[in-house]
Amino acid sequence: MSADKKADRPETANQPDLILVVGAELMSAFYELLQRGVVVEAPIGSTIQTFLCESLGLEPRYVQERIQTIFLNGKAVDNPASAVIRDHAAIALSAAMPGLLGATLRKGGFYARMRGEISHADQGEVSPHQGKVVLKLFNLLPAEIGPLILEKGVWVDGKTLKPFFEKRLPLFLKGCHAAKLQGGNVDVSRLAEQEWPEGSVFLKVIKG
Amino acid sequence: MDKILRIDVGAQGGPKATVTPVGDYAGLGGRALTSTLVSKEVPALCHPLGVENKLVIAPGLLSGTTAAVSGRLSVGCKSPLTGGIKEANSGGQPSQMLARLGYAAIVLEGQPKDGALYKVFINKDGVKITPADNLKMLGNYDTVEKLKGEYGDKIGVISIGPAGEMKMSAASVACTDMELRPTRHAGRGGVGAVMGSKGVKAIVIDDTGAKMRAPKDPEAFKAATKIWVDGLKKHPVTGQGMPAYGTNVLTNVINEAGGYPTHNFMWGRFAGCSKISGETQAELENQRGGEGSATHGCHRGCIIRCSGTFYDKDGHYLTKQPEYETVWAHGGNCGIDDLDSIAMLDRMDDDFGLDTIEMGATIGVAMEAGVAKFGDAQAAINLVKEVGKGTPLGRILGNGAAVTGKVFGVERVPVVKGQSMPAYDPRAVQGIGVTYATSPMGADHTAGYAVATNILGVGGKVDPLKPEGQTELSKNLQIATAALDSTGMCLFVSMAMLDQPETFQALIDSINAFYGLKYTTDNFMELGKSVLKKERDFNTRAGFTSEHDRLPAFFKRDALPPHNIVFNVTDKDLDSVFAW
Repeated sequence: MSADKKADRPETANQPDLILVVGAELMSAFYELLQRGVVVEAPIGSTIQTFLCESLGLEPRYVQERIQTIFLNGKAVDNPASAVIRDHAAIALSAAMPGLLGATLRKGGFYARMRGEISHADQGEVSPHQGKVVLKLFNLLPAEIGPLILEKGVWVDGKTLKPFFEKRLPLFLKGCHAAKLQGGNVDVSRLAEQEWPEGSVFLKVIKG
Repeated sequence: MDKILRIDVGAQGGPKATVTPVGDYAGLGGRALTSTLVSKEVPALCHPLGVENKLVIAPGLLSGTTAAVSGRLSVGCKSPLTGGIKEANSGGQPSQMLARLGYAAIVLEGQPKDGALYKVFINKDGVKITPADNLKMLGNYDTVEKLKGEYGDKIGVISIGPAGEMKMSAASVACTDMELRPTRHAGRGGVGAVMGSKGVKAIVIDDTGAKMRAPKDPEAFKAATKIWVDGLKKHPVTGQGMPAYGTNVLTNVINEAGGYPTHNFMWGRFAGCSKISGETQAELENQRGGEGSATHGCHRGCIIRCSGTFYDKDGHYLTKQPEYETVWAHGGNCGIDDLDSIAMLDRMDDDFGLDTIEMGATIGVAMEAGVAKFGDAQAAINLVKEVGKGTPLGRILGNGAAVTGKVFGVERVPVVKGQSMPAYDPRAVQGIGVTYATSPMGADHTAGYAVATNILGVGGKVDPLKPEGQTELSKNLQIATAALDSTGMCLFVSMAMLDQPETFQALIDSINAFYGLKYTTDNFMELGKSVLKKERDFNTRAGFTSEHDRLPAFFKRDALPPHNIVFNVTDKDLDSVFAW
């Protein structure tokens, strides 16, 4: 099943700090960032369903069938159409998981009552505004929707970038075709040597 | 599978093998057979390492057939770890091989004279038992290498390492995989110690010349197994997620749920989680490459292939892909976030013949006691080396978390009936806590697996989003799991069975076509219920009461971060699980 983009997906208005153009084989290198969590823009006050379908551009069927497990601030969500996002919320998404725990943590699953203490309870409305959330992708989802999200752009903690590039430098030398930092070209071999800031770095990864 | 091989290791003049018809145990396989035989033939009050205990090794009902994923082998006895009945099961090649040779079970009985050590060779021509002094205190890897030299490479091996010979309560029974490596283990409950007490170092199986088991109704069997295979292949868990990432794909999700026991069950989240997750593990294995790196089966006929092969930094084979519970036990539970160290610990456990869950939990307790620091991977490796050598400290650790906690005065010891809890904190997912508390096996994540109780129509007429009814669900899951454990099917088939009624029906149809039966789902549940009844009856006779069906007190007292919750299922509710 594919995670199709919607044609009218809005482009981010932010100036990227770092743009990478990479071969398809290098996309998996970014899955570690996606499972640890990246910051993305989100419509605060709207539901997870709205965020996934309208902000990220996922098809409703994909959300319903493929995304089997959703956490909002560590609590298992049973109904994404009623779970409201607040500023700086952590949203984690996974495809179907194995085992009893996998079955238990599923949204609206038969065994949901076995984890009642960590189920998300709707907490009422929030005034709508554009904000940011932490998004984590697990299991098959980094490969399926990770490229879409990375192409839109994400914020990552600058201090994680140095070890990230150091660990994967040989892969980047082979698979990263271009790198732009603050609008200027940068040698791929020097990515690990950059003095990355403590705060957020806006990262865009384009397949090419 | 119409015969049972009984070996009296203490017989006059040396071990004596007798092959008997399957008799009263006809129609039983796997856990149903081991638990029925142990319940009937082993005095419940006997010493687990004494002459009266028996070790029963049984393939599942469909092992040795063409049915996919049917290679689980059950090992049963009275457990030296829990003091109750035990069934531990394993993948690998031996189950299929024993079944094709016609054995419904091997039963090791008696006690050897003067601590003698033997090996058993089984092929289509019969059974031969010979001294195994040259294998004494060898690790499982060296044991298998020596046996290959003697019997060739067309064999399967069931063996114990030094931990089993030293009769440690955390000792496992190893089964070889397709590459003839001792990587698959019946890990839980100290079954390796019982094999050691019988003086049997290894059972070598050569099924050359043995045919695939033939079904009563070949056409119906073929049709049912095709639906079975299609169902497993098309399901996103068995067809995609598990082959790609293995069971360790659970790490991130359980951590996100705040139910990932960290630093000996102190917290529910581990900061180093993403460094040891299934996704990261697969990326590392794919980068290093090598035969069967990130996706590999543990036995022929497995189409899920949730395992893999872990090569070290230099590309040398180290161990099989460590499973989720192993990565948790030696990883997050001990504050260790390095996959290479965890893989080394897995290799050592497999070689010494130790249950990875019990060892990881034990080291966590030892770390809490100050024996080593949380996060110190080298210290953890050194502690497992102590176990392998059998030093005084190693003997303590090798007897599990409960003994270690007692010796070092630690209160937070995560055990039920003396057996360590696996990788899911029962405060976060309380339903699994009910199973941990009440299973006759002691704390066990596979005792109440996600076997399709919805399709079976039990425990199902309640709102899935309401917390009530966890005890009823746990009971039904335990019943259904006991039945599935009797088929020889890997528990991982359960996800496809859960979501696809036709896949579940295909399993029933396969059994019916193979044995000429007319089983229904009701019969399936009755089988599971009868197994559990026998197991609980054995435990009652062994002195277990409702007081043993409890979690340690700290789970009710110490709130688990980040959700700050305690285990709140009442004792009354726990006691209702098996109020049949």
